[in-house]
Amino acid sequence: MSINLILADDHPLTRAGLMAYLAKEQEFNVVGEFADGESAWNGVRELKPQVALLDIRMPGLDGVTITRKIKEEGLPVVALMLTSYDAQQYVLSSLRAGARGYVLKSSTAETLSRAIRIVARGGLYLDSEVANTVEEGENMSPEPISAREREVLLLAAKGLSGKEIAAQLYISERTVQTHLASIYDKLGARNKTESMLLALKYGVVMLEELLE
Amino acid sequence: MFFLALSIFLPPFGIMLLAATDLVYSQMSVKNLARSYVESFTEYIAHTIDMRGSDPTRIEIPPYENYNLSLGLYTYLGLGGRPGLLSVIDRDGVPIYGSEGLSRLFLSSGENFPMGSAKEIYDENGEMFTVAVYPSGHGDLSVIGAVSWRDLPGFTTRALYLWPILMGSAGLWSALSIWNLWQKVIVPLRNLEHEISSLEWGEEVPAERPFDAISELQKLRLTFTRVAHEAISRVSIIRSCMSDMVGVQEAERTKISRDIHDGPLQDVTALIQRIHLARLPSNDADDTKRELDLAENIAQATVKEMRGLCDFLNPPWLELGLDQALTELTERQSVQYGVRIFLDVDEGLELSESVTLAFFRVVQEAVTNSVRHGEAKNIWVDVKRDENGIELCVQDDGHGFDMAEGGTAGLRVEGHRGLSNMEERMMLAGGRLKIISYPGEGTCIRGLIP
Repeated sequence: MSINLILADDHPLTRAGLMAYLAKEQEFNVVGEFADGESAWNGVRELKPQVALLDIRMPGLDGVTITRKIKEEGLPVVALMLTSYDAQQYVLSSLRAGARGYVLKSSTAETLSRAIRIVARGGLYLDSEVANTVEEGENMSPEPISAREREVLLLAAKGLSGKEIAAQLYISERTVQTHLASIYDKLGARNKTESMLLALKYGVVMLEELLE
Repeated sequence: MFFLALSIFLPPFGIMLLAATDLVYSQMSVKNLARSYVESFTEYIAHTIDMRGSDPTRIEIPPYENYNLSLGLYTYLGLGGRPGLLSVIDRDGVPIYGSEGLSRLFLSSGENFPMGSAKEIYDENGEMFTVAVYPSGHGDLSVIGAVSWRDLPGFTTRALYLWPILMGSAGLWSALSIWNLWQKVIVPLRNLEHEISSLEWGEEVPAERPFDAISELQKLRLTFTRVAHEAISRVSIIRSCMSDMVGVQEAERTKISRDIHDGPLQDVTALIQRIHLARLPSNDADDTKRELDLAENIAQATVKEMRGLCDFLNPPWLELGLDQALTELTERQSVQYGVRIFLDVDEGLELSESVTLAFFRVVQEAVTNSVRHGEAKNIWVDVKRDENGIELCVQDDGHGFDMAEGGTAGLRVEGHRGLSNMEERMMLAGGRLKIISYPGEGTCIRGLIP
C-alpha cells in the first residue's frame, strides 16, 4: 500500500534533504514537489495527494492558509506541517486550521516516515520538544485530569482568557488559575500551548473538540 | 498679586472713608456753629431787651456783629449780612416783634425748648431751621432766634462741604479706575497665568473663548496660542520621528530574523538531514560518502551565507575608504543582481567616517532599488569633488517612477522607506539628497555634501 505525497518547501537544500528521506521509503510516492505556496495549493487541488507536507512559512500562501483552504473545500488531503523550529503558536494555529500534525525539518527520516504513516491512517502526530519529552515512555499516561480541569483546558485552548473562562463556568478567576496550574502539573507542561499539545498527544482531549 | 491689588485698592478707599468722615464732621460742626450762633444771638437779644426795659415796642435790634467770632468772620467776609431771623412773643404766644413766620413756626412746632439751647426744626416746606428760645422781660416775653439752613451755607460751609465731596469723587474715580484695571488687566492676567500653567504643552491649545482684556494682553494670549500650536506640531514631529526610528528598528529586526530563518537556519537544517541520511543503516559506503560530501557542501554554503549576512549588516571594507568600499560593494551587487555597475570615484578624496558610511548606504540602497523597482540593467555610480562640495550620483537605466505624487514623504506613507532612508542618511552626514526620476527615463539619485 503506497502513500501519495506532495512536498512544499521553499528552501532548496532542506527540500532536497526531505526528498532524500522520502526516497528511502518504498511505500511513499512523491507526486509533486513545490517551492512556493501558490503552486503547492494548485498541486494539492490537482493531484489530491493523501498527505501534503507543507512548510509553515512559504512565500505566497503559507502552510497554515493552504491547510485552511483544504479544510474549507473539503479536499481528501491530510496536511502535515513542516517547521524549522519549534514554534508552538504556529503549530497550534495550523492544528486549528485542520492540520493533523507537525514534524520538525531537522528530525530523522524515521520520524518523518512514522509521522506520515500515522496521519495517513487518520491519526494525529505531534513532533516537537514537547513530543520529545514523552518520546521515551510512549505508553506513559499522565495522571488523569478531572472533568472540570478538562473543561477549563478546552476553553483555554479555544483562546478564552482566564476571566472569560471564569465567567462561562461560574467560578472565580483564581479557581481557573488553580485548575490550569493543576493541569500543567499533571501533564508536565510549562505553558498553556504546551499543555494543550500534551493533552492532544496523550489523548486527554480530541483534536475535534478543540476545533468545535 | 493679592497684596498688590489690596495696596492699590486701599488708598482710594481710605480717601473715600476720610471724605465721608470729614463730611459728617463738617455737618456736625456747621450744626454746632449754627446752634451756638443762634443761642448766643438769642440770649444777647433777650438781655438787651431786659436792659432797656420790657416794652417790647421799643425794642431795637442792636448790631451784633462784634459779639461772636464766627459771626464776626461771617460779617467780615461780607457774606450775606446778618443771617438769622428774630421774633419776640409774649407769654400768650402773641407775636410782638420780628418775623411772624418764625413765631408761627415756633408755636406750631410744639417742640419743647430748654432755655437757651438750640434745636433743629422743619417748617411745612421741609426747610430746616436751627431755633433757640430765650426768656426775657422778666418772664413775660420769649425771644426766638433762628437761622435757616438754606441761607446758612456761606463760603465757609460750602468750602467745608466741597472739600470732602471733591476728595470723595477723586477717591471714587480712582476706585473705578482701579476696578477697571482689575477687570481688564489683573483678572485676565491671572486667567492667562492659570491657562498657561495648566496647559498640557504639546498636547492641547488654549480654548477658543472671548478674552476681555486690554489689547496688549489679547496679543499676548494670541502669541501664547500660537506657541501652543507650535509645541503641538513639534511634539508630533518628534513623535513621528521616534515612531519612524522604532519602526525602522523593528523592520530591521524582522528582516534580520527572516534572513537568518530563510538562510543559515535552513542550511543547518539541511545539514542535519544529510547527517541523518549519512547515518542510515541501509547505506553502502558510496551512499555515506555522497551524503557526507553533500553535507560538507552545505556547510560551506552556510558559512558563505552567514559571512554575507555579516557583511551586509556591518561591511568590514568601510574602513578601507570610500573607493575600496564602493568597489567591493558594487562588485558584489553586480554579481548578486546580475547587473552592470560602472563605478567612478575621484582619486584622493578624504572623507570622514560618517560621510563614507552615508555614501555607502545610499549606493547600497539605490542599487537595490534600481534593480528591484526599476529593473535596471546598467547603473553608473560617480563620486566627484567640485566647487559645491562632494557629490555622489547614482544613475540607472531602469523605468523610473513618478515623483509628483507626494515625494519621499508620500512614498514613506505607502511604506516605501528606501528613499526617505537615503535622505535621512545624507542629512545626518550634513548633506542633502536629490532624486530625479520620470517614468521611462530611469532614476538619478544625487547626494551632495557641501
